[in-house]
This record gives sequence, C-alpha cells and structure tokens, in this order.
Amino acid sequence: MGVTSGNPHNPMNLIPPGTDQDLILKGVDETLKEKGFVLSSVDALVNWARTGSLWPMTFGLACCAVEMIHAYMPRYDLDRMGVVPRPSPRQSDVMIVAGTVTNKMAPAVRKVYDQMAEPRWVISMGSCANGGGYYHYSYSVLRGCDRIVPVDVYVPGCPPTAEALVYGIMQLQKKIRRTGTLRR
Amino acid sequence: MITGTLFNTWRNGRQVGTDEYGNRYFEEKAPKAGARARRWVLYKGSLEASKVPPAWHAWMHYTTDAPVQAESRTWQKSHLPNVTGTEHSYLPPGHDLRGGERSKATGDYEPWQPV
Repeated sequence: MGVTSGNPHNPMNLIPPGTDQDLILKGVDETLKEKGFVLSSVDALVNWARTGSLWPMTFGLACCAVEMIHAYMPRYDLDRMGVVPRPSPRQSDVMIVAGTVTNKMAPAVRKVYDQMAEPRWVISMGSCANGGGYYHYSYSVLRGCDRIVPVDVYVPGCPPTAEALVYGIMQLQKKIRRTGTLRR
Repeated sequence: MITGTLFNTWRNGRQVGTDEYGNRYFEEKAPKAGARARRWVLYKGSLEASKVPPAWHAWMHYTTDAPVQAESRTWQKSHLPNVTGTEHSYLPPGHDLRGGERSKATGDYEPWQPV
C-alpha cells in the first residue's frame, strides 16, 4: 500500500567502502557557501552564539525526565556545553519534551511553546513524545508531540539514555549551524 | 580540535591504535590507583561520535580489552557515520526532496473529511 521497495537514496549504494568519513559527512556542519563574505561571517558568529548557549525549557513529563536530569548531572554535565535548564519559557531557546504528553497536558505544552522567544527549537525525547509510544492507543494521550509543536530532533528510546539525549542536543547544534541564519 | 585535549593527550595519553578511517585512539598512561585507564579518541576531521567503527566502539566502552579483530564476512557492510543532514540522508518514498510523488494508495484507505 503505497510502499515501494528499494531506496535509491541508500547511502551504502552510493559510497564505495573506505571513503573518507568527512567526505560522507560533508554538509552537516556547513551553511550555504553562496551567501557572500559578510553574511556568512555574521551567520557563523550568530550560530556560534546560539549553539553555545542552548537554554532548554525544563519540561519533564514522565520517566524520560529522569534521564534528562542524568544528562544535567556531573557525569554527562550538559553545563559544559552551555545547556542550562531554565524555569521560564521566556528565557529558553529549546524545549525538551521529555515524556508522555497527555491530552490534558497538550494545551500547556503548546502554550509554553508559544511563549518561547524566537529563535526556538524543540527536541522530542523518547517514544511517547515521538509518537505516543506505549500509550499510542490510549484514550487520553497525544500520539506524538509533533502534532502540536514543530519538532527539530527526535531522540528515540524508552527512555533514551542520557548519552542519547546529549547526542540529540549535538545534532540540534549541527542543525542550527546548517540552517540557522539571521534570515529564518 | 580542542587545544586542551591535545595537550592532555600529549601529556597523559598512550596511543593504542588507529582505525581504517584515520581516527586515533588513546589510553591513559598512568591510571589512578584503583581506577581503570581512561580511553578517548582524536577524530580525523570533524567531531562526530558516530565516526567510531564498531570494533573500536567496543573498546572505547570497555566491552573488550583490545579492538575486536574479527574476520570480515562477505555480507558485512563498511561502517557509515550518521548521515543525517547530508546529501546521503534517507528520504522516504514520496518525500518532497525526492520529487514529492507518492504512489497511489490501493483504495482501502478513506481519509477523514472535515465537515
């Protein structure tokens, strides 16, 4: 039903073995080259500032929040990457939706997202926030937080490890470097 | 690459090996009493954790004492870092960047029509 086999975009078909890893990863960290010297320099500065101080809105909803707390604690220490949890949406850049979003909580999630200042990003953490997860068929649970807020990075797992969340934040930093400009 | 990491590697590190992509792996020369020797990697080029191939990943995470030296099978594929965001990233059929043309559904699906 609308499913085709074979994927022409499978990278294994394109890349011969033994290729330089950086050639494969080309483009992950780079923005468009044809912007000119001044704009690209300003963009680099802006992206450096944005990626260096991603303040997340503390939004722990369920057991994923425990892993999120682990990521803040000394072993993984998100502080060293400039990630400091903020209690207010007006001060935060990124919302980490950690846990099951119930129907009752959904308006609050949306309201908090609306209160955040631009530019803002969303990390969806865990199966429940990604797509409902274990509670997908529950009568009272939102089937994924991307139904109410635009998600930038999905971190899979139930719950994801603290390492996975840290990696997700690094992926978001790469995405900001790749796409984030003054002209959003 | 971070200057502090290079200095720390020069001072405390003993190179254990290099993988096929040129990433270099290090171990602490003199671990503290009662503690295991710390292990780390200096990437070739950009910093990306998924560039570590599985044989060295096991060593990095203290699963094995040495990098895995398994014979390579014909069905094995070479290691690929996380290609999200690159031109090689996976796009499902019908994705906008792949033309946006979806194959017709078989007819057993009725979309909900808002009144």
